[in-house]
Amino acid sequence: MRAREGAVLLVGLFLVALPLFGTDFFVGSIMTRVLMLGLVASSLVFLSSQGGMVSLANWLVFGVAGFAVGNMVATSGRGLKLGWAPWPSMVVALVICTALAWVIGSLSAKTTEIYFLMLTLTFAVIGFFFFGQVTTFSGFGGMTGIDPPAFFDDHPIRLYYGALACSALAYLSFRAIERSPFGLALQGVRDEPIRMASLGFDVPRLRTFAFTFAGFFAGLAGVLNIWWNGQIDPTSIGIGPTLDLLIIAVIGGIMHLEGAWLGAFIFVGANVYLREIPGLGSIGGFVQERVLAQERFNTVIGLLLLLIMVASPDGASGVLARIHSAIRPNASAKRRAITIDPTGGYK
Amino acid sequence: MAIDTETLRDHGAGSGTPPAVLELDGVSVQFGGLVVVSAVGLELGRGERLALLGPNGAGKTTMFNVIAGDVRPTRGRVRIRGVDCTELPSRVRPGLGVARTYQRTRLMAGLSVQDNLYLAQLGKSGVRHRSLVRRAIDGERRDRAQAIAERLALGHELGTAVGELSHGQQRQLEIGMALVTEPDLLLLDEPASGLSRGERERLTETLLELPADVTLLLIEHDMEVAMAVADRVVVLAQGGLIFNGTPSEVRSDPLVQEIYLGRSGGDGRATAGS
Ligand SMILES: Nc1ncnc2c1ncn2[C@@H]1O[C@H](COP(=O)(O)OP(=O)(O)OP(=O)(O)O)[C@@H](O)[C@H]1O
Ligand SMILES: [Mg+2]
Repeated sequence: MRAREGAVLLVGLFLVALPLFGTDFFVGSIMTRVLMLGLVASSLVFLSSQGGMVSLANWLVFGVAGFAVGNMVATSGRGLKLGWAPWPSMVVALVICTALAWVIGSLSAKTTEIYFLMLTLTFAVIGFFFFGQVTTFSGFGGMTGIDPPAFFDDHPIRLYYGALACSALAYLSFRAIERSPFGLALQGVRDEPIRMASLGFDVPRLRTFAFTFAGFFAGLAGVLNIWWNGQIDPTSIGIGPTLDLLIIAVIGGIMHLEGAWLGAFIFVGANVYLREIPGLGSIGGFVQERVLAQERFNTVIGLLLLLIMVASPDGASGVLARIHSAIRPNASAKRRAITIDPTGGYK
Repeated sequence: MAIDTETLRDHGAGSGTPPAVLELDGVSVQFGGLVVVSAVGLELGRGERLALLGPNGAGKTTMFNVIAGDVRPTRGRVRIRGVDCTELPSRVRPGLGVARTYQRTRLMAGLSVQDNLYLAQLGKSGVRHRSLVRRAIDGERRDRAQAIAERLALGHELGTAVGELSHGQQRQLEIGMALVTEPDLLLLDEPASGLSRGERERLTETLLELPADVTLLLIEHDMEVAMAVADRVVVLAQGGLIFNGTPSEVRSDPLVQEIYLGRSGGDGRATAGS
């Protein structure tokens, strides 16, 4: 077994055993959040590493899953208040998310690079205003009191395992795709779309298909999130959180699938623990304590992002890969290198 | 959505005499105000080997792009085996037996040599959704990829990422990408450029060994390769066809001498326009 698989397996086993010794707060709050964010980030990393598509719409799909479940499950407050059972609502929400991803994917698939980025950002912004202004479905106040299935209700450890299982499913699926005919074709499209078309591939269709597949997993993360959180409002799918997802992916390494969860871990860890570190108090100036924590966090994440992009364009997972090849140089001498060039090839 | 090339082919084969493999009918291409190809007519029969010559900027690659579907002509029609392909996208061409190479190498740099050759074969056969999670390299395609790679001296590089190959190796693979699909109509855009002398000789051999019914359209500045392989030559200058004849005639044609071969003409080793 190669080092990458070995490391992933070890981390996986560690995560399975974690509830035995971790505190309830660490497992049920921090790590569940890491897994959910990692899951949605993995859908973005999949699209960018295998498909060359840096999408800003994955967070929207994630959010739509939450709003969909909220509208179906809630019995009071805003929204449709359908009062459905949680499990069927989950299925319907996943269908909605996958369909939405297909629509966004097929409309964006003919564009690339900056145009693709702007188009998916446009969808994200539209989504934000849609749920803000259409009070039939939510309104800016958002939705509260959305109960998870009884199985997960008041069982944070069970929800943790749910998030872990979904993460494992996503990881294995995306890895399996990588070596499948579809995955190879997708990577071909990433590298040379014009050649791929002249070889006989339907390039927009391959892109759309990948986008739809990613949308399913973004939706899955969104369902878990609403079960964990019990509430959602449009602000949580605004531009800020949309960019946070991109930041998570870049910090972790947008070319390595593992980087999605690694980036989420760093992001959530920084968010939770930085406010407790003494001596960072001067950052953020004279703003009140609660705001101060957020300011401090943004500043530190910004610095971290800067550091990583300068030192290691392929993020924290790239650092790990480099450490590995430094220890065992011949192991990666002829590895199937996928590297990103932040200059875009312009010298 | 998908265009069924089988029905297209049947439809094309419907009329009595077998249609020409390739027919260009008054093809013109204009980029903005610039006329790059003007009213080119050309017909290629089965098994014909045609060299397309012309100075830099004559419009040769653009003509290729029209045939391959990467550029829509401003006027005129393109028919491949009797099927009007003028408005059809490039991705239907492999189904009609067409394969092309690019003058500026276009390879999937992040994938291995084997995966590149695999994709060329997969593209021709069409990706089926049921193949989503099956392992990508199946025996037969792997064997063919390996055979082609060995023929191009890339046998020991099968697992290497294409981006890590030398320029010469990439040029070789560029040709391999077309050969591996076993095309009926092969379009090669300056395949010898970037190759060493030995590699050029091997390329000439490979082209001479092509099955007799393969139709070849070759853009080539290297006269030795072009003249050895071609049984007919056309010369394109400023977008227009100025000559159509045999390799021996082209050397003695005064107009070609003047426009194309220029001062260095006549010795058979001219590298035009450079
Ligand atoms: N997409 C395009 N837009 C505008 N002009 C173009 C485009 N493609 C080609 N041209 C111009 O058309 C002319 C013919 O180009 P083309 O590449 O077909 O020449 P060529 O005969 O292949 O030359 P070479 O021997 O250098 O490869 C050139 O002047 C080129 O600048
Ligand atoms: Mg050219």
